[in-house]
Amino acid sequence: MEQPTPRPDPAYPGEMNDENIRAIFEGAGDFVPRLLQCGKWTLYAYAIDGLVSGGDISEYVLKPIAEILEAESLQDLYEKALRGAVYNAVADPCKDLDTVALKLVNGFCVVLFPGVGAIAFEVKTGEKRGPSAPEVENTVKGPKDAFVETVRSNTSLVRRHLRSPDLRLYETKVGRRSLTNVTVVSLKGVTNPELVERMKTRLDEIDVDGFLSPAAVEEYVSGSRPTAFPLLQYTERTDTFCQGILEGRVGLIVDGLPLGYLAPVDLGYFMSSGEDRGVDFVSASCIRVLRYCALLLGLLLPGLFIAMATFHQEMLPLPLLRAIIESKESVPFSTAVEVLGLLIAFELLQESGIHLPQAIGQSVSIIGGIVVGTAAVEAKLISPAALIAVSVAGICGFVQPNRDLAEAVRLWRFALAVLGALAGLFGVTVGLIGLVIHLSGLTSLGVAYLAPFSNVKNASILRPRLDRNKQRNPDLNPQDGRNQR
Amino acid sequence: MKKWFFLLAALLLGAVTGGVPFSGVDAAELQPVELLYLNRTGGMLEISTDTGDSGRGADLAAAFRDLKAGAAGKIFLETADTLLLDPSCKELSNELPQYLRPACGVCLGVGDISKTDLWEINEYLSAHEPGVTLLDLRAGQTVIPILRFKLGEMRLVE
Repeated sequence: MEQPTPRPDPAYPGEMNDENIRAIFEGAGDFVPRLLQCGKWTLYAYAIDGLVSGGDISEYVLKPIAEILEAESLQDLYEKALRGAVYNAVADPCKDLDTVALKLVNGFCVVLFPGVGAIAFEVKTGEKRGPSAPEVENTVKGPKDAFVETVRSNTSLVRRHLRSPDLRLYETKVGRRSLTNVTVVSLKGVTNPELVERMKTRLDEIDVDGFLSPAAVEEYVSGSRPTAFPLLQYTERTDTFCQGILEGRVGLIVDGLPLGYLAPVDLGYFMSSGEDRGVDFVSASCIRVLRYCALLLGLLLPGLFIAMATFHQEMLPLPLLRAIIESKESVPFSTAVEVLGLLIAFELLQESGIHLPQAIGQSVSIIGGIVVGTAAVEAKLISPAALIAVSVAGICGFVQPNRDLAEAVRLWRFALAVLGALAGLFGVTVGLIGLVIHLSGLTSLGVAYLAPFSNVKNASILRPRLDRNKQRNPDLNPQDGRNQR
Repeated sequence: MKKWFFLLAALLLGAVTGGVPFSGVDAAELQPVELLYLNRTGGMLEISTDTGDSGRGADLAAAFRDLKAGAAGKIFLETADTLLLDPSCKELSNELPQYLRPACGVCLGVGDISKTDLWEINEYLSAHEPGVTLLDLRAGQTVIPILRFKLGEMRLVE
């Protein structure tokens, strides 16, 4: 078996001089080296075009060096520059070539004092997407600031929601080549330190080239279990993220992803929405009950429909059975083929809607859902009853607040439909038992996936009244279990 | 994950080749019966349905077997709403719950009823349900409504 390429440490060995720094970025068109004359001394400035602001370099690095900085020795020059003669908010000394390279790719301008050292001045460009309204987790009430692709902007958004000095942001880099900035967010005095340590350990154990996609984050962090169910909760809403942190969960922000991740998770977290805290507890509870019903309906309806129309017709009320029989009179396919075919067609429509531009995607959905569906029913290729069963199941999937959970349900819905076609209610029941066993075996950072339902005391699908919800989730073992007086 | 796919594929293969010990009948193949007419002809019991199917036999079991064997699809008796009994078959009413659901309505058919009239009779009985069911008969009810049929005209007498 091929061994993984060993990671060189340091990545860029050698003396910190102009020649070696240029060698690191040899062939990089956006690498900008510059020679500076500071009195009798020759300095070198480096930056990566596009990551830095040219104006800021001129104003806050080059101008002070040219106009203010002067000293008898290069060592004094370096000390003065580091201590504020070059007026810049951030001036980090670089101890080796690795640090120089890292600072440059992170939007710093590095000034080399040959034979003495190098200083990295922060001159990041202001070009980045500003916080905008969430696109997926939209709510009527509640804040409208969603995460963006820049980790520092995201941490500032979190700070604005949680102005506690106890907020802890552990920063690390993941990915040999992508060097992705990752921040672990927790609240000192609330979050179980063991959870934070587990998250840090998992991040440290990740040794991959790139850590760029959501799947990479989710699979590497959660341990790549063979399951379709999400083991990390993502959110684009900063308020949902901060609420999770306040509950004692650990947050994860990855540079380049406009999302925040929360762990541990259980099924209850995926069934709650940001909107739940935007409305009164009565309405929120009713909607949550509706959501759970939709979860069950979306999961079971196609399988039950096949099972009952093929194996257990006597279980259907007579008028319904007659309606189904009448609707299937001239349809050439069996119920199982009809429903499974429709489920596949539904998935295809959904996929096409995602990959096409929004305007065309909507047209495709209308053509596929209404025009083709109606035409297929009129042509007696499918029965209206099967179409309704699959459509209702599909709509129930859209009710779920978390897309990852909805997609897992889509997969299991298909499996249950196949089992229903093979063995009727027996098959559906076997599948359902298998699903419960599967879910019971899942854990997220040590918390059981079905935790909200395994403890009768905590088993509540309703949204509790806030003034009575005085305890944090005990499954998370928070340091401070109480959240209000 | 692979083992799950293999398991599902094996199940599908089993289903396609008939290796799965479960067999169902698709709803499309069902012949849902709403009305049954039970009478005696030539010493044999005859069951006719509003779907146009019929079966004959020396006893009820044989007649139902013949009915099911001779039908184009699968005769589905769970949808039967009404049983029309020839007065000569009245004594069989206690055996009928074995074959029909207990909520099935019962009435005696008097007059020149033929198989071709059953669809029309069914329409009439859908609108004028007999108040007695097989369950009532089993519970000891003795009075059965009578459907008088003459030259296409019918009337349900309680």
